[in-house]
Amino acid sequence: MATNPVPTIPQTRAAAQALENQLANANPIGADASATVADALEAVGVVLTALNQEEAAQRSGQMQAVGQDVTDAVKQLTALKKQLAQIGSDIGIVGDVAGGLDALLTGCGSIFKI
Amino acid sequence: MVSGCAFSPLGKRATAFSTAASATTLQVKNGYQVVEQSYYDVQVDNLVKVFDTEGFKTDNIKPFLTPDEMKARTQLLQGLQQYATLLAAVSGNDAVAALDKQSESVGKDMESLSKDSGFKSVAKNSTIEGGVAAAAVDALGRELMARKTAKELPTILDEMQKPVDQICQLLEEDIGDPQTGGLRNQLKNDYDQLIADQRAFIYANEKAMSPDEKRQAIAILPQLWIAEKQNDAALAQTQEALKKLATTHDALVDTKKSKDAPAFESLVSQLAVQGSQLSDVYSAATKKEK
Repeated sequence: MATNPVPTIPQTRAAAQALENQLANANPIGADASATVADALEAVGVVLTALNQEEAAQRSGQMQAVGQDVTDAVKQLTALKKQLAQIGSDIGIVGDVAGGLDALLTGCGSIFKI
Repeated sequence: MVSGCAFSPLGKRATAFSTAASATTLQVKNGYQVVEQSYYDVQVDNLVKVFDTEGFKTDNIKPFLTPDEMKARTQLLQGLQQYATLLAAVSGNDAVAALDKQSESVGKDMESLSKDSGFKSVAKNSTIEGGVAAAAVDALGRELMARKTAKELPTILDEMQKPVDQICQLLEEDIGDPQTGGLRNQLKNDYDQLIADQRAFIYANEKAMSPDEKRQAIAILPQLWIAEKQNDAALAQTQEALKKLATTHDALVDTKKSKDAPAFESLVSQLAVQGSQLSDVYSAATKKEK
């Protein structure tokens, strides 16, 4: 049986940036939806910064420990997944937000060993 | 005695390049300041969100570029600026002794820079291989430390053509792209966060706001969006200016044996205009932030 290849840092980074774009272009109305989008954007921002640092560390051959903020951000995105999928079309998110989030979480799991 | 070339066509062109290049490198530093400011704003924004539960922790306020990373970028720009000054000096009739100390100091900084972790942070956004980038920085450092005279101007230009091209490319790629990385990507993501937080703040607190307070809070949303577009345009213009600086330097090298150089003259005046436009753009951005 074929196994899915392990996502690379550039692939995971592209998934994170695609999700960031979807969230940035969303138009949530109301306190709950806007807070969900703001929280998700903050978590994606932390992941993007960590992916950039990890890529630089790999190029220079230096290992670096995964910060607690990255672990927290990944946990938060996992927690927000259902909510985002539910409100996605209502707030104008174009495309499959759950699928994008899955790609991001799979990549982070393998890159950061979370 | 140093053979003067202040009145030689090449000497005049080198002096014109020096003036335009110095103005451009000064403006690139302002680009870093714009990104630092947006990053700081996001952190203050996050502080407001968590203040009631976590209070104020100084650890949560960090610069986007660490002191090492900022130092590396500043040193690269200082190297280019010092090189421009050196060209003007060797193009004149005066002995370059007065400049030697300063050049030597900047040159030494450049030589140690290629081994610094801050430099690796610049190189990581570049398509130039790390070793090649380090070699370019070393070459510029060595050139600045060497004692040069007017008659060596053509040799200096030849030796520095590749390193100057590569350092400009390094700085240009460090500014990056809104989607794939670099300073422009950081700026985009920071502003997206600021807009989302401002919107969430309005919805969470609208019941406690007066109509006027709500109006003011809503008016901030388009202001943030416009600031993002303007600051990104300024960074894009900075990239163009760096590209132009390298192209103009290449053109200067090509005119070593020419009496007239209309292509170079056109490029150097474009570079001067770009430097002056950037100065206006960044002055406007700084005023708005105040």
